[in-house]
Amino acid sequence: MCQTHATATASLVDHDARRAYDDLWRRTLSRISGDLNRLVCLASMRDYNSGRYQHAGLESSFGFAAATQALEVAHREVFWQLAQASLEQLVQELELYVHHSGESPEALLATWRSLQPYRIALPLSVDPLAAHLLLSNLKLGLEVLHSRRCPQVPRR
Amino acid sequence: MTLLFLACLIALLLGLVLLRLLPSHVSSPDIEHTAFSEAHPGFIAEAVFSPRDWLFIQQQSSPALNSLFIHERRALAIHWLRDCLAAIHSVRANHLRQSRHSRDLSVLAEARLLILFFYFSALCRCLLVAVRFVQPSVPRATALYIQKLAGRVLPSPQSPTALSHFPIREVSRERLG
Repeated sequence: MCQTHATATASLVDHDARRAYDDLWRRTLSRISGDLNRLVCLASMRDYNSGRYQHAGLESSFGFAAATQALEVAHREVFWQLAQASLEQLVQELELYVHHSGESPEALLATWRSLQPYRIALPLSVDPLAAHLLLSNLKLGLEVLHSRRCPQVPRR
Repeated sequence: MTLLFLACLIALLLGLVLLRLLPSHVSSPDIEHTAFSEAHPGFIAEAVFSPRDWLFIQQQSSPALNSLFIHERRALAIHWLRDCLAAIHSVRANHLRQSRHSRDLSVLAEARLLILFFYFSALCRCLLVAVRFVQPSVPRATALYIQKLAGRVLPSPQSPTALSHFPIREVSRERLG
């Protein structure tokens, strides 16, 4: 078991929150391939306006507070995994994301490069410098994928 | 450019001599543990000045990608160095404020601390200039040295279970199993 996971689990002092976290990984996150896919999945469970996580299944089984805590910790854990990844690993993550999205790679790359939707996939209250690093690497990774498909001048 | 590197090298050597004179850890009770170490996990400098990422980008054989990478890494390096400077200034301000009320000040220890703060600050400023002119991985050794120095001057809090203390080394990408 990786150290990030161990640290994340240790941060969950509440018994229900820990059970909710394990359940979240077992039933949902472990079935998703790639940390970027997991990050986007976790971010999609968060309300755009309030920033609160919403997961009906977890809430009904473990309660609102435990479910929220579990989702928050998992989100931060996945974020740190990606922030620590090398650029090459991140490009692989992006390739995996493109592959699993079901969209045409060209359309997805065009959207991601122009709208940068990955910016809202980050957890709240993470270290701004680590967030900057990940966003910068994602931007570079997208340009790498784009340049492999059609070599052009990347955007700044 | 050569002069700049020479200045950095001299500063580095001076710092090493200075650090030998200092105790192994600046553990003055006056110095508050700041959020610096929490906010700046060790992998940041390693990642920003990573030769591996630079090599990967170069392998793409795209001049435009190279220049974008340099632009992005430069911005990150400046962000990191400015945060370092802000943290050391904050620690120094706290220390000065608290030392006014202290009755058992050692002049020698205070002088050494002051030199260390100035040295750290000067090193960050030198690197701030250098990163504007050189490739991202060139000043890596100095950046890692600054990070090491930061860990010494700004000790990390003792709570290993804090959420912000996720490990700094790369970990297995397979979470389960």
